[in-house]
Amino acid sequence: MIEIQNLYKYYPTALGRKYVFKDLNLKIPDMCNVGVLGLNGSGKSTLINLLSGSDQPNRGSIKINGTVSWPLGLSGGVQPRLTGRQNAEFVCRIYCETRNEINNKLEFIKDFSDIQDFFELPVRTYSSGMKSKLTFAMSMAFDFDIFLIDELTAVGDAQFRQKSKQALKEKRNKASYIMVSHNVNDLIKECDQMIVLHKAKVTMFEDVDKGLEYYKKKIKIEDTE
Amino acid sequence: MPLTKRSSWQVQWAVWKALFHRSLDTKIGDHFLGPLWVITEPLVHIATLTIIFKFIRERGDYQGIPFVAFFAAGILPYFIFQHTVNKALRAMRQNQQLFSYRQVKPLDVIVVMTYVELFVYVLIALILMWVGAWFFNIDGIPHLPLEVVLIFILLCLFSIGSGLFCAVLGARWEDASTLIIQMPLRLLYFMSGILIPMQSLPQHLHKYMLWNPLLHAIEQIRAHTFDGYIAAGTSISYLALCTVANLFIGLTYFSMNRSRLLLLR
Repeated sequence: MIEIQNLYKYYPTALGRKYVFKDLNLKIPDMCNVGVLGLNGSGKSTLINLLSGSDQPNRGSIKINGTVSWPLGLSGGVQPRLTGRQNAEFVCRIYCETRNEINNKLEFIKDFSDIQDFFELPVRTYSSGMKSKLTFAMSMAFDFDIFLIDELTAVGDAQFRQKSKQALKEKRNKASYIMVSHNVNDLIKECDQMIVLHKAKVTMFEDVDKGLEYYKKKIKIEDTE
Repeated sequence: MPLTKRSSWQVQWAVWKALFHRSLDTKIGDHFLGPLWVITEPLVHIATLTIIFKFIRERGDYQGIPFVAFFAAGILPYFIFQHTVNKALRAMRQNQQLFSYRQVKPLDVIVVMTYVELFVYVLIALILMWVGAWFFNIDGIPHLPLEVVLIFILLCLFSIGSGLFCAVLGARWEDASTLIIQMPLRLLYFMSGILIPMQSLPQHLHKYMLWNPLLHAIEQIRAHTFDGYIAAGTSISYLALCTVANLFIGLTYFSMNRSRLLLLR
């Protein structure tokens, strides 16, 4: 269960404070997959960052029951000079207690990422596809309660996509996810509820289709104006 | 298997350990020259100073302490401070990717960074002590080791304080910080008693020089390492006072600006 109360978030810019959220209140029940829709710059990524804890609200609180992943999809979080193994090991060290556990996870990541001996080479030598394979494998190694997914559509080749979809599906029984995507079809297929961000207004819909309808209407009004 | 629930201290400790290993990995790099350079850099520095001072001075020692030992005792602690501050200026930008993991906070980066510097230079100091004692019959082993440990701890805390301050400067004004911090840092090198002991400096300079807490640290390390060394006018308590003040300023400035340190990109 995620509960956001009276949340304010702004970014200080040369043109003064730019508010992303003003007095945001939101409740997301347990085991509910939520899609987030919104135009560019409407605060989708900010919302994901706030939930992941990598960014702090200026005011208000976020209460989360259970463990939350880091934002998946962006291939940040890896240091190009270090090898795939060193990068993976860093994350494992943060999340695991025992050496044994760390080794198991590393084995899993190497297997899942499907990059063979490139795992022992610096990440800067990777292609962008391999890099996202690695980061995706890293996140699949841990059983979070809530996965935060930021634009995780085309990761890797068709074969790997199949594998990652399968892995996400398996996680579904134990975990839920909050998903940002511009691909509306994905959201309809995967999600139970929908959050629409529009002009600093956040609306939650318990029905995905209704959310979509609202979103389309909002955009249309803008177009005709 | 689900993630095990851990206490805050366990998480904190895990983060520090992970960051420490990561820094060592980055320092070593993917080539054997990496660690070699880390060790040779201060050694070359010490050797160069020793050779230069052998030429310009008639005697090869200060107060009976050979130049090599004298410079080593000055440069190694100074490098801990200098490297921490220099790296802190760029630390927030360079480690931005780490902050997407919620356990890792900007403060951890600075703390571990300082610890890595301490680790490296203490290691080098130990090697030098052993080499000096074994091959050259130079006694560089502290005769009051506990005091030396205390001074190193204070020096580290002092560096963390300065590092925090510089991390914010570097994050907010990337270019200006180089000018504001790095230029004076060069001057500080000459004013921290690395090259000449206080005792050998004219008395009327003392009252200006003694404002510098780094000078106190370096001179006190020498006084507690070499038996009979006179560290004129310096004291551990002044260093401790400055450390507390510095930590206070650093932490305050850091926490005032902590939202600016995240998501810099």
